Amino acid sequence: MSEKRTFWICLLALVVALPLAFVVRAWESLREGHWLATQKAEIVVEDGAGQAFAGGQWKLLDMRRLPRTNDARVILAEFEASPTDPAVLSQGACRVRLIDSEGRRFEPVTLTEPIVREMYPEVAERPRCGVLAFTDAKTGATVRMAESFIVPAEARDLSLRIEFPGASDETLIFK
Amino acid sequence: MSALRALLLSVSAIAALYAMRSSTPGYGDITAPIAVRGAVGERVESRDFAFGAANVHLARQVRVESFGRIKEYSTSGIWLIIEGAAVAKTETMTLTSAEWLAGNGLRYELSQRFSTVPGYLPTERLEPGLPRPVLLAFELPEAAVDKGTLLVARSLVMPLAEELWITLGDKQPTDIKPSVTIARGSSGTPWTLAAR
Repeated sequence: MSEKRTFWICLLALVVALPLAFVVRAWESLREGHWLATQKAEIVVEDGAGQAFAGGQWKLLDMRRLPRTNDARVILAEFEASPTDPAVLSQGACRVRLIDSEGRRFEPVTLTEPIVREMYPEVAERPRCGVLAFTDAKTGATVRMAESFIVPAEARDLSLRIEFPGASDETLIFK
Repeated sequence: MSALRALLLSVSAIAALYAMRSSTPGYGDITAPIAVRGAVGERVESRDFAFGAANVHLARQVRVESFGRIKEYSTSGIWLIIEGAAVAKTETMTLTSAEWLAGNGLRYELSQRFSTVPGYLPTERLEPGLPRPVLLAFELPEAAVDKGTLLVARSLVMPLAEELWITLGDKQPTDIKPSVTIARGSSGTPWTLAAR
């Protein structure tokens, strides 16, 4: 083989090998990025209907708007789940968020707002969505839960978003 | 002749490789937060949150009044106290990282000596669309104030997230007060700040 030919073969191999090395090194990251970017399936439930999700039958009971300050409101969401598969329910970790029409995501508050305690003391006593709520409940009994959120007064079209990683890959959305 | 050429070529190749090696940014630089620049007195926006620094105070001593008791915080340097407001834009969050970047490149973390100051930045939970007044305090050597920059970010460990870089500009205080008193405010403001 002539020297010239070897040179061109090597050059061509380099053109192939360099991008290949990049792809091989980045493969895991690319796959992870793809997994993160793919949308999780959503189950949208409207008008207080029941829905099977993460080993239970879920239902939004009420979503109340309570006063807080001039520009803020408290949203009190009440929902229930009757376990159909308690083993699955107690595996996952419940994550609840409130989404408004602009797509802003509100996390539930950890301390009960005074107005909730004052106006709906029996709701304030309800457990928050989590493993504790389901382990304490008797088997087959419906678990009623409540979460409160603080939102700006102008927030509209609020929907409750429940994720249950570990028990379900889907997201339950109450409108 | 050809030997000399080969020698020259390899020397220049070594030089080029050395330059590339020494100018390669480290992992920390590649994943460093993206700076959004602004100044005291204006609202500085990132994609997820906005922050505005309003008042800047320098003091030799800070007195914190809490439930009728006064705690005094002295320092061998000076206290830099910043009053401002922060708002989340996309989701509920807490701004856990605030640093003071001095003119000589040293970074000073937000003071962790206060536990009871109302409105202290890392303890304030920000809901989207609801601005909150926030307070920041740094304990610095006196020379670190001049030409310094306030860095505010959601977290120290979020690669490629945005970080606000806020310069004092013409708002740098000229005098250092002997003492500043921070007390719990009445309705409306979470704190009151009185200089002496």
